[in-house]
Amino acid sequence: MFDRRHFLKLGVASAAAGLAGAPTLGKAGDTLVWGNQDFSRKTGRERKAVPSACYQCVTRCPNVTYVEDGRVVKIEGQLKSIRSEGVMCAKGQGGVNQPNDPDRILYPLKRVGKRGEGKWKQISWDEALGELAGRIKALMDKGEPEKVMFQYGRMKSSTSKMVNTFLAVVGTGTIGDHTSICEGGKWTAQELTWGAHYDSWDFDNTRFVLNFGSNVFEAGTNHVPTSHRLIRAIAERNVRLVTFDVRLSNTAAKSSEWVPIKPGTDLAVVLAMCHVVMGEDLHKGDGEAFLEYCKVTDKREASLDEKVAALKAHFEPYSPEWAEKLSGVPAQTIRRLAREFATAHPACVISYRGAIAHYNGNETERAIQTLAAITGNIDNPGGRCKAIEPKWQFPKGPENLPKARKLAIADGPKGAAALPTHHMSHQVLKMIKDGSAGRPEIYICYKYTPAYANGNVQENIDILKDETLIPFHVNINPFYDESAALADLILPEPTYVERWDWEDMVSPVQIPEFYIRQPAVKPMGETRDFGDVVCELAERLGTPLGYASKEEFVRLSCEMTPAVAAVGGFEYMKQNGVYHDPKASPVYFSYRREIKAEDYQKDSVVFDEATGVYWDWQKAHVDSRAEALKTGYAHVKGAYKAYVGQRIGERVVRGFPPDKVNKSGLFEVHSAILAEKGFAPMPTWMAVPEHERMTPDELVLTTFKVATQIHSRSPNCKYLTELYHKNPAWINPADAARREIRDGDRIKVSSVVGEIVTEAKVTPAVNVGVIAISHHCGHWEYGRYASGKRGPTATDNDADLERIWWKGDHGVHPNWIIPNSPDPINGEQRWMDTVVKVVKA
Amino acid sequence: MSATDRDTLRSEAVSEDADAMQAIRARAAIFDLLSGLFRHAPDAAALSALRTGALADALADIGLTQEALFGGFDEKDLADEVAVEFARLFLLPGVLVSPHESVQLAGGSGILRGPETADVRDFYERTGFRLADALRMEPDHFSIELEFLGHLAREQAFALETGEAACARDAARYQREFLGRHLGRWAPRFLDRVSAHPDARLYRSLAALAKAFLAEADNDDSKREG
Repeated sequence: MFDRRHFLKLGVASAAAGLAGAPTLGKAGDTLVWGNQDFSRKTGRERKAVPSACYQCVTRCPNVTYVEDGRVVKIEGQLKSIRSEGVMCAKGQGGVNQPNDPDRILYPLKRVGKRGEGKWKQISWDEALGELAGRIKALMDKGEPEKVMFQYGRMKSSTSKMVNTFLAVVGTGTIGDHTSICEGGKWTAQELTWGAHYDSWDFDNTRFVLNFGSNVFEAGTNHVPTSHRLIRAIAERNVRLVTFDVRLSNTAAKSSEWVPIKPGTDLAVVLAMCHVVMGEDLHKGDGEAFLEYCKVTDKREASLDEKVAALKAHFEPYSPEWAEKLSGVPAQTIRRLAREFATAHPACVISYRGAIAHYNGNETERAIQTLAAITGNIDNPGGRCKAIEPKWQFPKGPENLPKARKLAIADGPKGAAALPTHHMSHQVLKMIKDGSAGRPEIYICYKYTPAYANGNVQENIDILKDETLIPFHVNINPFYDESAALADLILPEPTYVERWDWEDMVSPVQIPEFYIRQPAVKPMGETRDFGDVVCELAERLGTPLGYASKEEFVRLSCEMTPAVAAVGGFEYMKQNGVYHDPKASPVYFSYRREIKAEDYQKDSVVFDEATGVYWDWQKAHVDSRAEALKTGYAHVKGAYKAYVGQRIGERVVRGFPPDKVNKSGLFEVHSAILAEKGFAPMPTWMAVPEHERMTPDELVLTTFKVATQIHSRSPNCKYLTELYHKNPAWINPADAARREIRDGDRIKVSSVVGEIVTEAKVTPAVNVGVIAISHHCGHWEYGRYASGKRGPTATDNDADLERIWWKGDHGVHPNWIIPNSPDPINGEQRWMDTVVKVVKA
Repeated sequence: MSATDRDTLRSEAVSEDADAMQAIRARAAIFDLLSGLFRHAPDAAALSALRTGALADALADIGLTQEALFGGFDEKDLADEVAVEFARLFLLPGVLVSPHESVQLAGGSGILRGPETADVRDFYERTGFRLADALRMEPDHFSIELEFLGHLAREQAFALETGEAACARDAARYQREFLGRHLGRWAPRFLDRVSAHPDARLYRSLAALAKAFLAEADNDDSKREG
């Protein structure tokens, strides 16, 4: 019928006739989709979408993970999440590289050569867990379970509950964290003022934001949930954001105003703002009303006039002119911004490590809390709120376990910090070396890289390498990082896209959000979730946890948590990933809630005259009512756990429940706890001692994070590391000129603990007197994308390995020259205080 | 090799590509034409295109003259008569020849919306297509399967045009596979039944056209594959 000519002719005529019916088929991927659907670029077919949760940074946003041909190919924000509202940062999207990293560890590995030599052999899980359980059992049998030390980094939520249950089975309380190198100091300061930590910034309702050292647009504990709201507030409601920072971060750059400040002097500026507020009676109104709930003198029930007088007197010496001399911020700027903050009600003052990771960080955060308090911006719509998180119920595990024993090494040397309520992780290795508080025989390290993440890197490496100091080091890790390289046994963990968890991060809308993480793909190789591993270890030790896997734990938790169970429990969560009660109202002013008489008139509850606190002496394990009354709330160890309520006048209210310290239920601007420890009870100026002694040729080294990397665990993500892999040192043109340093020159930066050679970035975007070097870079392990070095079980199944154009240009880690040195009150590592000399290399 | 030789080779390659593209576009257009004619009874506009002009000429060239197509119809009521024929052939219970793969496939389920229907839908989805939500027809309707091949042929042509050789190869492969697994396996028998239907007049010729065209498409594909 057809020859070519006729065929073509019919084709042309058919096309021209246009008799095709209306199309019934369309390219699926061409459909405009807003709603967590994605399509293969290869086939156009819809990809499998798994509702799960990010774990790049601690914010842990709900996400949707897309899978094609059994491989994770894309991650985006979960639109159903009230926290993130579907927004996902670069880091979260870059998480797609985690499971596909060709350098990840896929099998249990046992050291063969010398520790740190890099010689490994593959062993079976049975052999690995057999050896570990055997060693733990031997210590338990000897009555020395405390010699099993566990130190963790970003272990949260369900994993944390399971692992802590396992550690209770072992009977060890020698548990270290990493919080003091993160934000522990900020938390302690909050515990001293309003109780438990996590402040939530209500940007949706605020009218003005005052920022001390938070790079909120690039990083942060609740990064995307807060940052996208702040952007929206600025763009849609013309909310002004004023940022105090030593560096023009992207947050500072997107602010209405960037106020450059000398490192370690935020405290002076905040005190001066309090001076302006009190001096000009700007506290009147909501600030004055809030004083009812505040303790500002050593008297519990001072009158309003007495409180106002005490505040005026305390802040009187801190004039803006005084603060200008210390901070370099013009007095008139301080005055103007203090007035703006106090009158823009509601306004939100925010802070992070830029302000807090200093010698005077604890006082800085207390002063910031005070500024919020005296302007009536505490726990109110648009202000600085107490964080709300979901309350998961979960299986508690075995009961009646013996009391844990512990080595006193998690809090650092005695006296180094008065109230290290989140421990002093940066001192742990030093404490092990010192040995005076004993040494662990087994050091288990999870989601934590002590070698890289602490200051004074060389010292960390030396201690971790020394088998006489640490006889057995077990590292649980999906990747071969700098600490895994110094282990004896590596237990490979799946990456977060292959794991289960329930999650509980705080919500910026003051309504709790329940969410889970579920595997989008099968764990690769022989990797095993540490949650599953502790179940098996407990079984091997003869005390099973009562569940066999993390999946089971998550399922049981979903069934036990009433809010989640009511909507369908585990199945609902697997299908939807997130849940919040659509009828819930945001929680504000929780401190005003009255306590029912029957709750504070119970037999086991006593009233503490000194603090005004009702507390349950039985719950605090005190022997009798008489003893409880005699010793008093403030001096019974752990009495804060038995807090019931606070008396204010004739009312008993929830107040600000304490955590970690026996604070009253008042908002404590005046802290008797600090006074007892020999510190000023009111937020008071403290200079950074090293800065006082600086010579003119010295600079202050500060560190920072960028938007495309998390602190230390993302440079193996090729998409992120292609964007950011080197970290030149920012130096002001005036400081550079004095040292004849030009942009791009090699420079030597030296401190009391060492020196590094890096590249100079000469820029007015950093204040005079400061040199700023970011984290993230300068890895010497962590695979080829991060450091150029192959992991021991690396594969070559990634064509992009041939395209690493930044080979040999992986940046320089600043921690080699930052000493491990604590805030004397809370033990926070002082990342921003190091005095350095900078010369051309 | 001289620069002139290279240029000659290049231009030959380009013209080969251009030829291939022209043929593929023609194929896409014929798939579309047949898809339209087998979906609904041709309306007045469609009849007019079939009766006069380029399309009528092109059809005549391959033996489908006006006489072959419309002989015996009453000119006055042509549209109605064709509509009646279409209804009897494809719509009226009792007399119809079901235009669905699941019904027609030899050795298949024989039921409307059978497992074959699901397979066809799956094939569409695997290759990145999605049926319109409002579609009231089964995905394995003859006309939709034809439309699908038309889309794939157009994609193939577009990929060749933009130099995306891998996409072009994929689009060609999907057409071969679809003909091999689906349309090619049931259409000849279905079209024979249409031709044999006592009420078939216009559609006897259109069935012959479709059969010849599908055979050609199949052949053409197997040649390229070999």
